[in-house]
Amino acid sequence: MSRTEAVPAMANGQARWEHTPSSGSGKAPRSELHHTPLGLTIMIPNWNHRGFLPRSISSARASIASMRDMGYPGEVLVIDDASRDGSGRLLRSLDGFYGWDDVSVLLLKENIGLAAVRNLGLELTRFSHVLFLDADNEVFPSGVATLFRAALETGAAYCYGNLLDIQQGKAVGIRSNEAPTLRLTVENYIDALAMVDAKQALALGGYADDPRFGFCEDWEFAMHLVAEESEIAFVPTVVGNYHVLPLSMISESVGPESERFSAQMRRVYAQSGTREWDPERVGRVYHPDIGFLDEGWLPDEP
Amino acid sequence: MTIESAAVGRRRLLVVYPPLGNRFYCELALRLSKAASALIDTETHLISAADLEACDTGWIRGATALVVNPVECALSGQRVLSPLYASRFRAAVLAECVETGWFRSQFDGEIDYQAVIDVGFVDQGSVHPFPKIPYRFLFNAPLPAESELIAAMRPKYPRRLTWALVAARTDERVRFAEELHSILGPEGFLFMPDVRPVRPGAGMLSPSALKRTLDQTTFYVWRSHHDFPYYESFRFMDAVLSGAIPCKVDGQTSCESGPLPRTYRSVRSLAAEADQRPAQDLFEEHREFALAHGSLDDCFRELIRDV
Repeated sequence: MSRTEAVPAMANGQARWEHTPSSGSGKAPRSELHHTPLGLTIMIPNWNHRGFLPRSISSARASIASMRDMGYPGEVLVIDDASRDGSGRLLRSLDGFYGWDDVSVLLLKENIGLAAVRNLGLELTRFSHVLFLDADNEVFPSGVATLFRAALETGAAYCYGNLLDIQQGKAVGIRSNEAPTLRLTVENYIDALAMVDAKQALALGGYADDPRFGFCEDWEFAMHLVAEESEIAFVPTVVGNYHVLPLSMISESVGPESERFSAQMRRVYAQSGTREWDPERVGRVYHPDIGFLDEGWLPDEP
Repeated sequence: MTIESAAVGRRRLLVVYPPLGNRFYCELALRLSKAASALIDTETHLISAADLEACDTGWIRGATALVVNPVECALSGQRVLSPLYASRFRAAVLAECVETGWFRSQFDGEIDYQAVIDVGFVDQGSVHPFPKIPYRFLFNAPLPAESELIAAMRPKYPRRLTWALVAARTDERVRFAEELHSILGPEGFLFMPDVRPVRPGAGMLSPSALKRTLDQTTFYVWRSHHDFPYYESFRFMDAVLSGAIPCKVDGQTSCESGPLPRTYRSVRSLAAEADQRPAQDLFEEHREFALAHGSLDDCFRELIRDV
C-alpha cells in the first residue's frame, strides 16, 4: 500500500489538488492527459465508514486479482475524505501490517464532498476505467470482470449491473436492475457503483460538485451523460452487494431534503415532467457473453 | 378476405391478440394462429384487438373468436372487444395458473365467453373457478417446425453462462437470485426489472434477446410469483428451443417423475442434481418430454373440433 496525504487548495473558486503520486509497485505514473493503459482502478471514497473498509477493500483486491488474471492491470485507490472516525488510522495500520502493493490511499486533511472525491479518483487513476465502490459495499470478482469486458467491448462511458441489497445477511432487494430509459428523469434507479471511462467522464466535466444536487451527484452524472448522448450500458449480471445500513444513503434519500434534490433534478432534466414518457432509448443492454440485448424487437404485428 | 369468406363450409377463426399488452401474449396468439393454419377446413385471421372495431360486423358474425388475454386486450380500450358480440362463438385463451386472482380478473370484462382455453402442460379443469364457463385444455406442444428443431439440437455443455433468471422483481425472486449466485456460481445472467409489460421501448428483453441469452445458458431457472402448484410451459419451451435445461424451483412441490418435467425444491437440490448428472442427460430428459406429446397442430385440431 502506498499512502499520500493531501490538502485541497482553492484557486479562482475551483478546487485544485496537491498530491504526490505514490511510488509503490513500479506502476506507470498517473497521467493528467489520460493516455492511460486499459485497466481498472477500483476507487473507494470513504467518509466515516471505518468499520466497513476491510470488507470493501478485500472485495476490491480480489476483483483486481481477477482482472490481472485476465491480463489487465488494476489497483485499488482509497480516498478518505477527512473522516473523523479513525479511518485514517485504520488505513495507516493496514498499510503497515499488510504492505499491499495493489492498494493506494489518499488521506485528505479537509473534507471536500463526495462529488469532488469521485472526480479526484478520475484524475488520479492510472488506468482507462474507474469503478466507484462505496466504502460500505462490496463487489464480486466475476461481476467486475464482466462489467470491464462490457465497458471495453461497448466503449460505453458508464456501465453498471445488478446489486443485491443485503440486510442482516439476507437479500432484501435489488438495485441498478433496470435498463437505462428516460424514466431516469423521474427517479434514480442506478446506484453509484458503476464503471466509468475516466477519459470520457473528465471530458464531460466529471461529477457535479454542486450543493444544489446534494447527494444526487451520481444521478446528475448519469443524466448528464444521457444529455450528452454518451453511451450508458446495463450489464445483466450480479456485480456486488449493497449493504443496507441505518445511516447509508438509502436511508438519507427520503424526506424533504431528498424531495428538494429530486425536484431540482427534474427541473434540469425532465423538462416539466414530459420526457419520462419519451420511449427514446438512452442506453444499451449488453452482456459480453451474448452481445447487445436491446435489439431484435419484431414489428408490433406478431 | 371476401373470396375466402365465401368458401362454403369453412370455419372462420379469429385469433385476437393484445397489441399493448405483454409481448408474451402476442407470441401465444401467433403460435395458435400457426397451429390453426394447418386446419384445412378453417380460415384463420390473426387480428389486433385494436383493429376489431374497424371490422365489418357481418364478417365477424359467424366467426369463432379466440381472445388471447382479454384483460390485456382491453388495454386498447374498455370496449374494444364489443364487436365480438356478433361472433358465433367466443373463447378466452389464457396460459395461467387458474387459481390466481389474475386469472379470475380475466372474466370481469365487458363480454362473456362460451369457453376458456387453457394452454399449458397440466389440465386445470378440476380447479377452474368458473364452472359455468366450459374449460378446455390445450397441451402446449411444439409446432412441427419447433419439433424438428428440438430433435436436431446438439447442445454442448458447459455453456458460457451457468444460469439465467429473467423475471419481474419480487422479494422471493431477489432471495432466489442471491441463492443462484452463491450456490450455482457467479457466472449467471440476471434480468429482474420491476413488473411491467414486456413491450418495445420499455427497457425489457425482446423474445429474440431472450433466445440469444438462452443459447449461451446451461440452466434456465425460474420460480412462480405465486404459491399455487403450476408449471410454466412456455418457459420450458423457451429453454428447450435454445438447448438450455429448464429448471423450475418450487419450494412447495417437486416432481421427479410423472406428467410434468422435473422441478426442484430448492437451488441446493438443483445444484446437487447438476453435480451428479451430466447436463447432456438432463437436457435429453427434457427433450423427450417436449417431443412426447405430438405437435401443437394436432392438439389444436383436437380442441377446435369440440368448439
